[in-house]
Amino acid sequence: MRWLFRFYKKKKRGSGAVAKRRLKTLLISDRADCSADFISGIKGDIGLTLSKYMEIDTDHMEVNILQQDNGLPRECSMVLVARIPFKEINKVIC
Amino acid sequence: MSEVIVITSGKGGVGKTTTTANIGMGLTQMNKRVVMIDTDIGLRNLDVILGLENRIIYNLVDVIEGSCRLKQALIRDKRYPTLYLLPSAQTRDKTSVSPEQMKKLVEQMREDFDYIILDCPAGIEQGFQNAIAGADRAMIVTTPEVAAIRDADRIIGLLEAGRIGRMDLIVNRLRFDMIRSGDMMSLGDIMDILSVDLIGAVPDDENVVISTNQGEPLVGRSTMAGQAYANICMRIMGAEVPYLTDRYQMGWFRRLAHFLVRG
Repeated sequence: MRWLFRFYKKKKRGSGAVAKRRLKTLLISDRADCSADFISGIKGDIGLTLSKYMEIDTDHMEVNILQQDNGLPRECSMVLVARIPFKEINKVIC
Repeated sequence: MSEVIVITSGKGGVGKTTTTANIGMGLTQMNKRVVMIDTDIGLRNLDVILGLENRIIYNLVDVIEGSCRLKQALIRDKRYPTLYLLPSAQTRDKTSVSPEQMKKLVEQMREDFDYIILDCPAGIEQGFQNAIAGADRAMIVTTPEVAAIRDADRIIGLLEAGRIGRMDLIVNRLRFDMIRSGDMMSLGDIMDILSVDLIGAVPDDENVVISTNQGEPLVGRSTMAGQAYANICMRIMGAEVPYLTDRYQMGWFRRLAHFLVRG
């Protein structure tokens, strides 16, 4: 009975799902068309701007372009996500 | 009011030319005046699919260069009096025509035809730019494969940048038996990834091979693909037509089994 179940399960997870998953990840980089230089440029500029207001940890800063189904039209489905750890807020400006 | 439709795909071999021939003939069957323009300069194919290859005297490049009048180059299909073909040149290359010239030619034809259908070459170079230059709307042909869908996505991006009025997707060569067993992406999966409007779902049908062998498009005939192409034509004209489902590819036994299981 178990082999029958296994057979059924195997059939359910077909190569169509694999194709869809591969396409989704492939199109993220295709659509963003971003080179490493492009991302590091953005990262540097964000860091520079924010460092006026706070002391940030540039070594652990992450900037990524992701595709998200955010209910916006197709041309806005890419989202830039930045994760910027900081140590202290600049008291003088506050 | 005439409409200029470009049939494009990015990837080669997904069925652009077959789709063009069938849509063109289908619209003619619905009493529209149609001209099909083969813009694939150097690789002429549409004439063969339509069975008009023996009647070519002048071609697209001759018209653009002024070596002949437009009326001289247009080939009238003997089967349908309102169907015309403007064939492409076989011995020239894509740089023989510019997007502006193409646009001008299309504008010139608007008065005499209800639908002007442009068969776009594969790729995203000048041939593609020529074909989309004068178009009001685009139909993107793809198949349920990773490479074809990836290229379709790229084409959609380029069409958006080219500010084309409207885009619709045609998914060609669907195998409902494989979709059922999970080994092919479904229409839903493809729509999910590409997010453009669907206008046609054409099942994989051996009758397409037979019809191209004979040089007679199968639109309107009682085959699965023929029916699907006729449905696309009706949707182009604004009618709401339900999509073919996998019931069409099920034998009577399977259909009975489905009926019994579902109650």
